[in-house]
Amino acid sequence: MTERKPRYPKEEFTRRGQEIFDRKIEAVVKDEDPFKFVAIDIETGDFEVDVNRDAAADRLTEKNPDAQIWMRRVGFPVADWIRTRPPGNKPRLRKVSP
Amino acid sequence: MKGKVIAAREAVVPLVLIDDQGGSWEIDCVVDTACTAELTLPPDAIQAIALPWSRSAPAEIAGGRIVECPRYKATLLWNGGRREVEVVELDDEPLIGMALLEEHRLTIDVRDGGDVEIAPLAAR
Repeated sequence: MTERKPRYPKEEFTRRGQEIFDRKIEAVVKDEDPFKFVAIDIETGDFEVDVNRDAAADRLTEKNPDAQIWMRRVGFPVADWIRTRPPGNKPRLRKVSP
Repeated sequence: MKGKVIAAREAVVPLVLIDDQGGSWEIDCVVDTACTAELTLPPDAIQAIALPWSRSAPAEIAGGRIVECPRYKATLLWNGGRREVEVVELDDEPLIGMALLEEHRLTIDVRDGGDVEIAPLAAR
């Protein structure tokens, strides 16, 4: 198996990935489930969308085994929430008696 | 998969990772139900085990801050077998997230020294 290494500092992954998303992906995926993953090859601009993050990334590496992959969600500029929660639209407070 | 509740009221489960030389590393991980990832590890652990880099993706952490996190591949011993997972590099306690617990039942006896158990759910 090819050993993969990052060719860019992590800040560059953010910058390139977000720029590609804004420029050519957002309009294409806007009707998808906002929690789906978007995997982006930050060198070629190629991308894949999937509910499963590994499935999205694997399709990119099938096309380009050396892909430099950055990920986010369709509707959010992050892939994960850690020690915090994703925004929800269900009200958490319910009155159960008068 | 079994663990214990420690004095800080955290549910801690030791996980074993296998490195590419076949060596094994045990790491005490805190179960975090407010974590969407599979597993997070601090940079020194990732370096010690020499996990292979996979990709990069940001995460939103406590306080609303967004941090860019390199991701690595790791092989865990899990339920008597091996499981490949994505490890998020994060300078925090090692965390077990909800993606690792998918299709499992988490049981926590919430008292000092209480049992923690992660067991697979029956297939639907």
